[in-house]
Amino acid sequence: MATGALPTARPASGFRFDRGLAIQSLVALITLGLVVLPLLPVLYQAFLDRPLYDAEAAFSIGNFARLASTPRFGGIMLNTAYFAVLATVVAQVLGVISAILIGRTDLPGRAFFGEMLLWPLFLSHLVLAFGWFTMYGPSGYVTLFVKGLVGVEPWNLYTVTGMGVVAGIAQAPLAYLYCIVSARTADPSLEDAARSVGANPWRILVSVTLPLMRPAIIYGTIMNFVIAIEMLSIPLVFGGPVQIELFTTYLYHEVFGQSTPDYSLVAAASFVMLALVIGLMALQGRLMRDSGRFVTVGGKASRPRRFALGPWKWVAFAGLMIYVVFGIVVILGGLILRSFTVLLSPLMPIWNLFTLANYEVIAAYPVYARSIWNTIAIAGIGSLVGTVLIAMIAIVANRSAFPWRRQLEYLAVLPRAIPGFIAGIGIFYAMGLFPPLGWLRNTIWLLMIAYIMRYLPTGFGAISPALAQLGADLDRSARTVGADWWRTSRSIVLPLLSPALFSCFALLFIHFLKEYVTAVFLFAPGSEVIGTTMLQFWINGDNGPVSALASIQILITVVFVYTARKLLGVKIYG
Amino acid sequence: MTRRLRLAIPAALTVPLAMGIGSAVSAQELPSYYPETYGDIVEASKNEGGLLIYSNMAQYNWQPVIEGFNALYPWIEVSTLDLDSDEVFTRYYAETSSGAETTDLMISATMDGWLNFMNGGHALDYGSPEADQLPDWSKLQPNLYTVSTDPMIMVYNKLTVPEEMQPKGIGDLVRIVNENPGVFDTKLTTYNSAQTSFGQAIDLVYLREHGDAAWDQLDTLGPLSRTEVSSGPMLAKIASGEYSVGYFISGIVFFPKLNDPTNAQIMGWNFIDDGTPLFMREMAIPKEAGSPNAAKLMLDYILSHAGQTAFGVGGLTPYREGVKKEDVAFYTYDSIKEEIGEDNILLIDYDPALVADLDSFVERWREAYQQK
Repeated sequence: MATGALPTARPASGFRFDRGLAIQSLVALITLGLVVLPLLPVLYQAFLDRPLYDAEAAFSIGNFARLASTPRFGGIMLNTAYFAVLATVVAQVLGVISAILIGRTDLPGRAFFGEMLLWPLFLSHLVLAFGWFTMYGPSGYVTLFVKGLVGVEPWNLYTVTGMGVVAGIAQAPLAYLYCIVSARTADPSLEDAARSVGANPWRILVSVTLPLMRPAIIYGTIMNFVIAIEMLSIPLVFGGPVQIELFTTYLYHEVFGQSTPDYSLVAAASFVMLALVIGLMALQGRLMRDSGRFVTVGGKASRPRRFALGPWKWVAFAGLMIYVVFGIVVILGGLILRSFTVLLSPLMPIWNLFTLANYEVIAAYPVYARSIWNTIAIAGIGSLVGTVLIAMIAIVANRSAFPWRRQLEYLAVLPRAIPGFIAGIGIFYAMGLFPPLGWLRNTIWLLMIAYIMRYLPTGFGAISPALAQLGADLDRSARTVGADWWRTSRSIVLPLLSPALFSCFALLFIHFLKEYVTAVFLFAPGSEVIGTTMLQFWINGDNGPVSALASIQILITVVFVYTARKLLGVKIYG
Repeated sequence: MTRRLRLAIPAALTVPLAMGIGSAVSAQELPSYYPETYGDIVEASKNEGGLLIYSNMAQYNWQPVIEGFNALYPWIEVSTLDLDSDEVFTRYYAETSSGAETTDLMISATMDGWLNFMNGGHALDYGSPEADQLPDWSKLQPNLYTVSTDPMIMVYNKLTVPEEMQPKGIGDLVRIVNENPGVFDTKLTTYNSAQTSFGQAIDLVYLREHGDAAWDQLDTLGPLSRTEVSSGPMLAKIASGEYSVGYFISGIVFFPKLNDPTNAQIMGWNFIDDGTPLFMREMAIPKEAGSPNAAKLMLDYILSHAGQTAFGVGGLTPYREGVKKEDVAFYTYDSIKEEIGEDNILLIDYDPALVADLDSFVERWREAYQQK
């Protein structure tokens, strides 16, 4: 017992320690710290004429003028815009068509396609880019095979168009994911009404079903556009050799290609990108608000009727099969095959080329093996911590009397507008700005913090809707028997949320396994992750070990996803 | 700069050597030209944390060196981080400016990177006892020491390039592409000198040697070339047939690939007969090093006969006289000199005049390497 402690039984004279409010404030402060940590330094640096750690640095707005006058900057912007638009169009067209075919028609093999289309979402763009390069690059297996048949180079991925198509095919599953939910839950009574006045299936599809999917399509379009703008791997792999620069690769080389990078310029460029993405997100919010809530989840009494495709269903089947085989199976299969060979070429018989050397290299050097364990550790521990934090944010934002709960919710979804690249740069600067954080620099904890910040919105999106479906009567009944807010949350709300918490954990785990862009700036000896090691191998031209690491990453993902979904019944992506 | 020898009884000898571990280096193992106070450095290194090195080399280059070093100093745990030449400095500046721990020893090959670093006075003042054993040309500045001199070479795919088209030099390559229009479109590769200071240095030294004639050559080769930021991808793509010929490729990245019989079947190479650039890879200890004594021991070991040989085994090109070609994996400075003659060696010697006007070089380079 401390002497001089405050008397505990004070009359309620206005101020009383409130456990609930303290917890809520703490959660809000942690969230604020997480989100502000990368943003503040970038904003600050963008308006300084020297690196922010330089004592001589002075306020200036000259960086933006310098950025605009950078030769080639206009070209970089044009390339980026073209690339992002093309990737988005390709992704949305493929995604919406697949969603309608799988969700609303009597296509054979629907369940199989639905399953296959989710898989690219579990893998990092880096893996997909290497897969495309291995199979469809200028010396890719498929490319050389086709060239052998027709005599000319069938396609050239070393162009902005080529990159855009690759990125679009890689992103199609995301568009599919957003649309499939709304396709499945469309209100059948509207379609039935159209049917009753004699509309044919095509007419119903165009006039009723597609408009009902509009919010999902708009949402997916903007998401994919943002992802395309901040994509690093595909432009790096396919644009580098021909000196095509996009925004991300320009920043990447600006930081890694100079011994004394121009931080002010990089920050100014990041600022521009941030403003652009936040603008897009705001636009998304506007569009979604105007469109109201289209989706009406009715009872299960009447399920949407599937459109009968008739003989066309085999055409649709073939089309989807081509997409799944050439856009997913060949790429991943080729990558795994490549990892067991010296090189992969139709000009040489494959049985002469088998080797385990690519895996031996990874096993032989502790640094390489460590990147695998680090990745697993970050994914495991980070997702756990992240899930706890996000669950707290969700209950404070949705289920408390906390005065700033609305603001907290905005804060939790804001990181969606912060490209991973900029989050990495920002935290990198933050280390320079707040020296006490220095001890974090060479640890995996720093990566964990960065990742949790980055994926707050992802986790929040998994928990928040489930929370909204819990009746408030449950809370009230607990409160009437005298439980305070925290007791209620702990004993009633959180246990009921557990399926959503598991989904949140699984989602975070997969994203942390994939993430590498944020880590590019932050990893150090001891905190390497699979993605950064893959990039290093790639830059060294060790394509064998690259595919071996990619295969290991695929394996970890498959084991995790299978265990979570099939054995534990956790829902990942619906 | 050598240290004056103190004639006092070195502290190392007053420390009982019965410590078991930690006495791997005894006085008689050190060469006679080492100062007697060297034991102080050895002792002091025992109280430091591990040794962290930032370098632009791969793990396999380091392995023999670390093994040899740990045989002498088993208590020093060495960790190396493979970075780009430029990144070695980027990281150092970012870390030191924010007061974070940084590297103990930096090894890199970038002209402007080292020039800025040395001019900024970031290097720890250290005169290595090995310095007098090294050739004068290798000592560019006090406190900056040369690790190796690595050749830039021509590499080609033997399956796609018939023997009469296998180039012996840059001039030869220009002749071949002119005689065979269309054959080499997008099939040549070299460094992207707009994005890498490593590539810049190679081009600049070649241009210094040949002047405007060199630009004419690059104007011919540029539009046919695809560029990479490091030699690894160039070689991977030459092996796969994506490219046919690479020029100014880093020899130390290429030579180890010949150990693989498949690669040896596919790829052939030559020194460059109109000038083989040798990149001097440099090292220095930063003032902020947390383990300066361990770093000094490593620096001296790298300069010693044993360390030079070990890096040779790891695939680098040792330059210390007396290191024999048969003791190393590939080449030594002396054996390159013997093979191509001293006149054909273009030493990348960190002459500040080379990087005096980088911007206009980069602009001119972009012009030459415009993709058609």
